[in-house]
Amino acid sequence: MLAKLWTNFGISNVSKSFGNYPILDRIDLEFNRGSFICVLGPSGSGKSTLLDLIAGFERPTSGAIRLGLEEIRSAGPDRVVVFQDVSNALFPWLTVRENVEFGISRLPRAERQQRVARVLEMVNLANHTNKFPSELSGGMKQRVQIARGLAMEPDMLLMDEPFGALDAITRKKLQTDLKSLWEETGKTIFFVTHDIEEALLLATEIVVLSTGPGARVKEWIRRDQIPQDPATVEYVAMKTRLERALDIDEDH
Amino acid sequence: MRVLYAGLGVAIVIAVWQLMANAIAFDMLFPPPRVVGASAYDMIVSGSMTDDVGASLWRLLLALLIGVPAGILIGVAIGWWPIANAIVQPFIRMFNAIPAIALVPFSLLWLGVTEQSRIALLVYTITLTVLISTRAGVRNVSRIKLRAGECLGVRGPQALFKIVLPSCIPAIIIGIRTAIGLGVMVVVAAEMLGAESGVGYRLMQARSQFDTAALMASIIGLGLLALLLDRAFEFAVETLLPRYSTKRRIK
Amino acid sequence: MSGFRMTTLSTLSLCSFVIMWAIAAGSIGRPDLVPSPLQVVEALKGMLSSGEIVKATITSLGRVVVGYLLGGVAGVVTGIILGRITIIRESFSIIFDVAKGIPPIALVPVVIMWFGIGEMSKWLVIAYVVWVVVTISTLVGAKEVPLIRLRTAEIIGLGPLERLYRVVLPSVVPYALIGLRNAVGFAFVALVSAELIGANSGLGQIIMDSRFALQTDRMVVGIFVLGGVGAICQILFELMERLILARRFQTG
Ligand SMILES: Nc1ncnc2c1ncn2[C@@H]1O[C@H](COP(=O)(O)OP(=O)(O)OP(=O)(O)O)[C@@H](O)[C@H]1O
Ligand SMILES: [Mg+2]
Repeated sequence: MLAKLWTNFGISNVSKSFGNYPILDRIDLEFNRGSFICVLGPSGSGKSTLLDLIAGFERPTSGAIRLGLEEIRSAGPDRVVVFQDVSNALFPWLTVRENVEFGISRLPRAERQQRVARVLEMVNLANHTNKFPSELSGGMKQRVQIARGLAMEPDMLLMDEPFGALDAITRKKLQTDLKSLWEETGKTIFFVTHDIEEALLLATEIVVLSTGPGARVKEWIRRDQIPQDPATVEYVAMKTRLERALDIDEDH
Repeated sequence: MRVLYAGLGVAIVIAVWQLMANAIAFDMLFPPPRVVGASAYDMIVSGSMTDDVGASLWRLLLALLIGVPAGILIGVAIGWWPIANAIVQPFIRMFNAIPAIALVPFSLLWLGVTEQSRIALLVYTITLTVLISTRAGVRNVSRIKLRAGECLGVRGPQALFKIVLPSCIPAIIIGIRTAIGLGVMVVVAAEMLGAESGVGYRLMQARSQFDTAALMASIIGLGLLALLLDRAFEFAVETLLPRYSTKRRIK
Repeated sequence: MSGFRMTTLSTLSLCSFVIMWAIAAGSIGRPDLVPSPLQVVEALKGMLSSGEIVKATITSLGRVVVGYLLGGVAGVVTGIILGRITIIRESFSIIFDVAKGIPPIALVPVVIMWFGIGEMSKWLVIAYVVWVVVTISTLVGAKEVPLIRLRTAEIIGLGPLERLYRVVLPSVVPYALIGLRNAVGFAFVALVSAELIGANSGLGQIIMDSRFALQTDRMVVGIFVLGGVGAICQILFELMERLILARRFQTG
């Protein structure tokens, strides 16, 4: 798959409703290629809906999402989704290796094997290639899913609360792994989460959606505004600001 | 240990049966285990058992060979295309409500006391059963799997073969298993109501000769045969399709 | 596609089937083999006004009800005993595995020899099938009463009898219901089996007699009424399940 040539990723004035029920209202955002974008928002605000729009599973009611100049119209292997519901996302009848190979079966054998080996190495699963999903723990399954996405060599990874169902220690581990993976590969990552600290640790851009119906962008915190060191006043202040933004009562 | 217990259970049943036979003391009407055993032995030695079971199994197998692929094909088609489903749905409801055995006289009327009539009814039963199970399997394929496929460049007809079909294999397996059980019931019914060979035919022969021992031996034999078929199918699935086994669980 | 359009399509498909049937019947011109829809309706009218079909339906339904109740109660009791007492289960489950495979129709000749051609034979064949089906599924439920529940009962200090009907029985309900629901269908299979071979009344006899009399129209009526009654019983059972039991007794 040839990497498409684009340098910026724009969500311009996007609204989405299901029937007459408005979910997203004029979302307007723009990011550079290689950004790590974290989206926060109250439950039901429309984070997953936004992700589905970027993935191409759904079309906006109005507005457009573009990679460079090209509008997103359908799902494609340049934007791979890592689903939260990992037990449904993996194919239970395929081994770890076969799951990872699923999308690249047309590549020549040698290249395919090389790629599979590389991505499984990246997610530390090189020793589990012949297991079936039912024989893996939750964290391992999630890593298989990430590896399967990386094998496609996509421009963008779309992740919907990928670590939401994991225990705290596994989550911590996968967060640092994902961060170094991002640093290594320079992929653009669109990451939905409920966890403010997770967002602060990972993101170069943080977006907070307001409570629906008709959710809007409530906060958009840019790269240079995100404090890196948790032991600083700035960090605590930013955390408080995000907590406030997420507080549903504040809206009324 | 398990075998021991099972042996105990069988021994108890035989003992109770013997006691009842003693109390009734009318071997012609209620033969004791020994007489039924002798009758079964006769059937085995004379080769009539092999002939009967062979005839019935042959019918069942032939019908499975036609009915299973047909059921899968139709089941996938109507599970995948809502329009096809809407067209076929009322007929599935209707025929599913009618016990296949009630259609035996119908098939005899149309096709006569022929091999075609029995096979046709069996094929019908098996197709319907497999189809219903397959359709449910296709419909229950999680949307996430299909979406994951889209992200990985697998869509349309390719998704049907690489995602939908493998996803519903467990449902298809259950469907076939149910179909085998029902198939045994239907083939016996069809043979009892009109045939010149098979286990069902043997049952009717025994009935007209008031041969209770042969009747009871055949009944027990049928139970064993159905159990054997079920276990054989389970074993075949476990060995041929280990990927779809429901027995593998997280360790 | 909307539900309304689906229903329309289904209705259209049924109508076109009836029309095709009428055309086929007309062009074949053998009403003894392929009666037209109109002839079937005529036959139904005749059988209704003579009271014949109503009488047969009541007779058949009565048999199913009696056999089903006998077999159902016996099945639940047997299932609980087998499920709770390991030695008995280990010893007799093989017997039930064999019994499950016996086609009900195979029992009819011997049962008639023992109990004559009267109602008792029909009740027994139906009850037998229902008994086996219900026993097997109740057994699973009784065997797998969650240990926590039994421990809870122990901690509260319930005696064995109280434990049985306040903990075991309610835990078994969802499983017994699965068996009882499947048994409705099997009861009708058994009913037809008993009525096709040596019956002097009931829907099965109408079907069988019309075969020899070459009255296909009457046979079709018999088959449809049988299917209709079976479907109604099925629906009633599910309704009862949903209304009375759905919220309190969920599986899982
Ligand atoms: N297919 C659909 N049809 C109708 N409404 C929908 C559909 N999908 C989502 N919604 C509605 O859109 C709103 C936003 O849903 P979404 O799943 O995007 O929220 P979310 O922010 O991801 O929530 P959570 O944090 O709980 O995952 C909800 O009110 C939901 O009911
Ligand atoms: Mg969500």
